[in-house]
Amino acid sequence: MSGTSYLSARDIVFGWGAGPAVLDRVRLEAARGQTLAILGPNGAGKTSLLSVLSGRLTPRAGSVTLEHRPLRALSARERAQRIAFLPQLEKLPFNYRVLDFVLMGRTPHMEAFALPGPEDESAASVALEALGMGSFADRNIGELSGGELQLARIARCLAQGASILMLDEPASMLDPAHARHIADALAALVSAGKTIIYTTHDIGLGIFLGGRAIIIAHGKIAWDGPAEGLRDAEMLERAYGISFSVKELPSAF
Amino acid sequence: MWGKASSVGGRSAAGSRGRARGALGGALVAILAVVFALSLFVGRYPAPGFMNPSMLASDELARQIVFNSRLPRMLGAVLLGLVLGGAGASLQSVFGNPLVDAGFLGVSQGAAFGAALALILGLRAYSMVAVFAFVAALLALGLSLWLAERFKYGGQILRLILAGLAVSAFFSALLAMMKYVADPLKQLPDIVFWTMGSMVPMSWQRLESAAPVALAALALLFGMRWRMNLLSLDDAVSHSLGVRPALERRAVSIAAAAGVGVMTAVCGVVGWVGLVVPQLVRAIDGPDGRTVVPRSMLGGAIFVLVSDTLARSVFSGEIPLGIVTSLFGALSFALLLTLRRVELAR
Repeated sequence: MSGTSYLSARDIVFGWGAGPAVLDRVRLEAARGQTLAILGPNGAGKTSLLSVLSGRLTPRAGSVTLEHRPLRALSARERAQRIAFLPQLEKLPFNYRVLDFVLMGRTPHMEAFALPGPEDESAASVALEALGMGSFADRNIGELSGGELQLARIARCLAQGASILMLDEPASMLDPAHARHIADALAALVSAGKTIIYTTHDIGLGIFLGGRAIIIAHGKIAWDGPAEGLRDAEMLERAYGISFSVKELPSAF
Repeated sequence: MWGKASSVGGRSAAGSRGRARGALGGALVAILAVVFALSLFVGRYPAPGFMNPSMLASDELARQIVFNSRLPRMLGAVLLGLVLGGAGASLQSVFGNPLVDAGFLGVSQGAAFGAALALILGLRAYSMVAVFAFVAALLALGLSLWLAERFKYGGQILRLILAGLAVSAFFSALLAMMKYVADPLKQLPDIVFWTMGSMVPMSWQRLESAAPVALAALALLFGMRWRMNLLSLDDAVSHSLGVRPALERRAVSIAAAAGVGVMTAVCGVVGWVGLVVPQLVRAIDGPDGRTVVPRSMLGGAIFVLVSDTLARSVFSGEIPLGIVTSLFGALSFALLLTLRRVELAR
């Protein structure tokens, strides 16, 4: 499966307004079914890169192609059937029922003025079940813990049926048990053949999920290699500009 | 760790819940039908209270009152309520803020200023007042949208809310200016009466002229009831789901403002309906746009119809409708908040 170029970013330059470039001629190829971790210091451009790859942000220069078609050439609906993007945080103004919340993921498969049908409801239920959240279907999102909410949000991405999941810090701000549960859920999605591109500050998560990792620094890819390579303290020192030591500590991963 | 999957239990619970939701919708339709039928015969002819329907067969004046005065007025009240409830629910959803209503993009204040301007210019024909009010309402909406694009503070939603605030305040000031320069004996009472809202001016002719825009707005808001859920989410999420949030939010705003604007042009400013009714509906059966939008329309219609029936029948002189809706609206709003039933997540 892997090896063929699936999602491709060529010479991406991105910046906010007239400000300096956050991403500077970034080139990146991702294969189908690949797991790709994006690491790097705060402000390095991880989320910007993920947003450009998902079509949410338009680069100043360069292009993103999906199966050799420019992302810009896809309609919003076509793009949404292929790529699901999950921001790190989202506002939740209303206390939706969990099943309805996940059901929103089915929108790219519905006509503009249509309502979700029984097949959409069952797809949403299946997505919840896949993440061990089946018994939460009738609860409200306001009653969920942080970890449960994160699983419900990932279930919504799953219900979307996209082959590529782009997740911004999917396991941050969670206790070790919840972080591990999210990591296990992501590992199951990888096994199921999904392409997962995610940002993280957690080197342990990157090594646990495996696949490939890149480190961004100053808007450029400073390192690109197998996730196992994240054990290299000297490489991390160069990327982050501080000294690292490899220690045996309790870890959920 | 998070419990075993229990899809069967989950689905059957969802099924019974679905039936409960259907029941509420049916109940609202039934209540509206009953209230409508009763209101038709409530009034002050031949005596204060309930008119015997059999009078329609024998009394020409009763027929005139029921079919040419009460019926268009009540249909107008229903249409106004549908529009106010639907617009309020839709705007609250797409701005992810349960505390906005149709007035917040400057539409109500714009309409009030337009009407006052027409009256000051001596254009007392009601069609002219309505045209001025409608044009000014759309002008206020356009100004809010235009300003929001240019604000350099906040995200898209905050910019719209701030722009609406500024535009509302601006038109309030212009309205105050109109009141200040108005002839206190001839013009001021008309302006004040118009800003208090009333169904008195409604007639078959005015209903026919306002209905196409109002019904088109209702159809669009109803058609987009599922999209309202998506638009309430973060733009990054709705974009990922294939929605174009800025474009669709604008379409909802324009439909809501046009519907409210065209009805306000005839009836004056009727407040609180669009704010309170969707909150009541959400407190009863959850925030899903599929139910909140149609039920807020029906709830709004019942609210306005009951208020208008009280406004025209309780005292020998008519009470302006806006006073009745504000009175009930403010009380229910306070009660809702006291009982902590305003639905907010996190």
